[in-house]
Amino acid sequence: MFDENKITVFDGAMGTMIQKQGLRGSKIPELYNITEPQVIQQIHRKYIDAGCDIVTTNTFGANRYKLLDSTYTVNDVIGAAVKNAKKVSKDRKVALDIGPVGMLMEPSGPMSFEQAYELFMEQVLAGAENKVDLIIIETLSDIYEAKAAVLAAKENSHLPVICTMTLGHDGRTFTGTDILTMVNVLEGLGVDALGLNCSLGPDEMYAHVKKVLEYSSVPVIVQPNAGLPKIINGQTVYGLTAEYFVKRVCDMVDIGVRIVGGCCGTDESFIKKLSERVKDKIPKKIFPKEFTMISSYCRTVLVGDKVTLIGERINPTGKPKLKKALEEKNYTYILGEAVKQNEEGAEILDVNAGLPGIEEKTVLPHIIRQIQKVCDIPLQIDSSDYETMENAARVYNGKAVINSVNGKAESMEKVFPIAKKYGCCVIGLTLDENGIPKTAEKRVEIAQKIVSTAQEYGIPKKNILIDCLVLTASAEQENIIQTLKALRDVKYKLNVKTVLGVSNVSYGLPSRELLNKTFFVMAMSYGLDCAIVNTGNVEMMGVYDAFNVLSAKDLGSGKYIKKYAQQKAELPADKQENQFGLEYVLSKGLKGSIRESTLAELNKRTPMQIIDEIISPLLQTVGKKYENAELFLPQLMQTAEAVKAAFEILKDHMKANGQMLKKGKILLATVRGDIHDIGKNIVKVVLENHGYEVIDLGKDVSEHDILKAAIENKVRLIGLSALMTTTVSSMESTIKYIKDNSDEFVFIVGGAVLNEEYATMIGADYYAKDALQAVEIVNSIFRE
Amino acid sequence: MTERYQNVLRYLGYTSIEKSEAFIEQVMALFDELVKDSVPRNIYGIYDLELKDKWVSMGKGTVVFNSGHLAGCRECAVIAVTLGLPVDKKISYYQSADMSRAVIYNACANVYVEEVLSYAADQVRKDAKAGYNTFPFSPGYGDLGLEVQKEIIELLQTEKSIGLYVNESCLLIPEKSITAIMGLK
Repeated sequence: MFDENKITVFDGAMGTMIQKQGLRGSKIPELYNITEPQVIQQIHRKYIDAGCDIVTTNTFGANRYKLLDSTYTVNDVIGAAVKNAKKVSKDRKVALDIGPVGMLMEPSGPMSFEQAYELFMEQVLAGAENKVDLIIIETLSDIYEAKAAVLAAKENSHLPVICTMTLGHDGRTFTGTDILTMVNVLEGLGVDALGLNCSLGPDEMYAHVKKVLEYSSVPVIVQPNAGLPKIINGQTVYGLTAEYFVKRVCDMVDIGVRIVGGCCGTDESFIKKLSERVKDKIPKKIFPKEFTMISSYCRTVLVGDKVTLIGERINPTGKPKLKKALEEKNYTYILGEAVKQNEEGAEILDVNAGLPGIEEKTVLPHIIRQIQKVCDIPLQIDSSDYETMENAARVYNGKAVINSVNGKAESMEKVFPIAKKYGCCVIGLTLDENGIPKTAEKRVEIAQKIVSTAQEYGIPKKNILIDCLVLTASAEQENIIQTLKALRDVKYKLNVKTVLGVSNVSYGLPSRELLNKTFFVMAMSYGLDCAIVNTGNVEMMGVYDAFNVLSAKDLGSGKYIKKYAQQKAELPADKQENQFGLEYVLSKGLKGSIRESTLAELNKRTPMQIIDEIISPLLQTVGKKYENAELFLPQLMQTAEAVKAAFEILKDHMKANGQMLKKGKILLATVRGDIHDIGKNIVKVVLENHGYEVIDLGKDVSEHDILKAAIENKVRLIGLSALMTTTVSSMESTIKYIKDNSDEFVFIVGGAVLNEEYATMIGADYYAKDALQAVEIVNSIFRE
Repeated sequence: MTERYQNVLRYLGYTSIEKSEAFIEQVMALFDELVKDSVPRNIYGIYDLELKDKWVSMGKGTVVFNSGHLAGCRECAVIAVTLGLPVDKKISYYQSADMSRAVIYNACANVYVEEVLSYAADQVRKDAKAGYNTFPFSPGYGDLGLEVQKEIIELLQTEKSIGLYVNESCLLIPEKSITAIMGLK
């Protein structure tokens, strides 16, 4: 696509030029393609005369969403735009310009991945039909939107695709995507060039571009603004002269940038100087980079520095609680497991939903979306079903790992195209049609076959992680060392990253933990790169932390000291806690001791006695102290979280003895249009502490969904929250809608702008000023 | 203790400053984390004002701010600031992980976004070289309606410039964002 022996020059700004031509006032400048074709052609001609190699169509916002209020279709606008460019382009190439849709994506905004894909697809199809030479997707700040756009371009055309994103001074996009993540995800998706544009001038962009060049194996493009924008009297102005701009862009060419152009504030004078100046420059050679990187939308794990921990717990096999959660679609539990593993130090999470009776191909993608709503940890897609794998890889926001492919021809035929298309890393298991080989040599052979077959599909070695497979010591003791030898050879002879699930080794033997952690240390010494482990296991994490000290990965032993020095200091206090018992543990919110203390208490009292004699009085004391301003919200929440954890243990205990704890059910929701829900969640925790079952519908919930959930769950009491005056009106209409349907529901409301009087006015039955008052009201209602 | 942490404690309802060192340490650690998570952005424009009765309109009548606070001012700065979406995500994360940390982090974010606003306001003062300026006040304050939010977003093109959106209820997304108006004369 791009001449390797010269620097490719794009044109400059379109918007700036349109304004200069005296066209103002249209909210959709893309319509000028139809209404003022001469002006648009004139702009293209100026850039061509200035010496650019590629002209960009005036189609930045030519998508169905932005054209909604106009009488023209995407096809009309793009057709006219391409015609305008082609009319004057001579031998220059014409690039279809695609900008962001202009709507926020889920979960923060209303646009789904599929909707974004469809909008981009329409643009791509129109461009391809009108025979553009390439596609440039530009000025994106959401990597998820970029993924939708690149996929739409590649699945609906055979055109080369360039993608640029726009960064702030801090080297991140609005949505938090950093440079490493941007390069990793876009390159994985197979773009022909990637880079930066807009927002910054060339001065501010230089350091960012340098970093892009360090990691990118594909050509890099820059299109800076003519300096930083300033709004003066309603007009946006840019400060740099063409001379200075060109000088600084040339500096970027000197460190390796291949494609240049201008964004906001640049005109034909910039492009003329630029094309003159880069004409004789010889582009720097691009070397393929060998980094194995796994990303979410804003976090990238660079595999190889030290052992990377992959959390294994989101997998229903042998985990009845998770199994039940999956069956009941209780995603809160699964989210909790994700968050917990992240807190424990997992760097990647394995996610598996393979369970008979569960439709894996829809459930796994759903779980992935749910986890990505709250947690930015990169994920590993764990499935043996190819359709599930593809669905999950498609909706995942970032560059995932697929677990797994193996040496069987069928497996590679199915998995590699998915990995290639979505740019995933893949775990390759060293087994084939003949099973798992006994010897290390044979396993290395399979590894070699996997790597070379992957390369035939265009998947680089850096995207493969080999799992040499651990067998149980009880059944195949001799075999353990073969796994480790194979691991070492894969790593040092094939130069491929390695991964192992370590906990299988001890199956069938006593004191499993002892074997697991010993094997873990052995594997790390042999050169293991990634370990799939239970990060909640203190012993395993202990040897991991120690290994990092002894292998000089934890420099200065900083992490080790931070973690273990503190623990030591807490030890005597721990002993005290147990003397003081559960009440002390709960009131101090000592999470680590709750389980032990609750179980100890259960030897002395029944669960109901614990609730009546310890928890209830404690909650009362804490509540009183809160009201008297002796303690504050963080401490209230600390106790609340602790009590919640104790309740879980009591409930399990009661359930095991065929008892149930039922005080009553409440439904909570933040009303339609309102996105603030921390207040509601505080109320939720406190209500749960008092034994109530809370059905939490989340935020921005429609009146219809609230009514439906209330009927389905047989709940009479509904708690609503709204923050602003604008959303209180939505609260009012919710209450009216539901009361019109049925008079059996009772409403409690709360929120910053509400008061008793206002609450009555909008038809609520009760108003609670804070969480503790909400509990009092709920208590009184259920007492009746 | 710096003003920053005192402000966080005030947000959390502290009437007197608590002496617990461990707690202050936690606040400080979470504030550091917040600063790392944030992608703070600001944008502002300075516009001529036209006085009509008690009301002031701006931008040749395209945008009208009905606020007595602008009375007597010749120019007006319109400011928008945001901490970015990663902060919203982290608040959600902490609500799953630990509500106690969630409320502290949330309070830190409230304080930080105000710091970002006052930084932008200082820039305005420098730029405008006005002899007098009002304090920056936001939609929903006094006689300035919340509906103005949408007009500000449109005027400053914040979706493109700083990644700031407004929903149908006039709430800003990302959540930790502020728009404000400052009169100048």
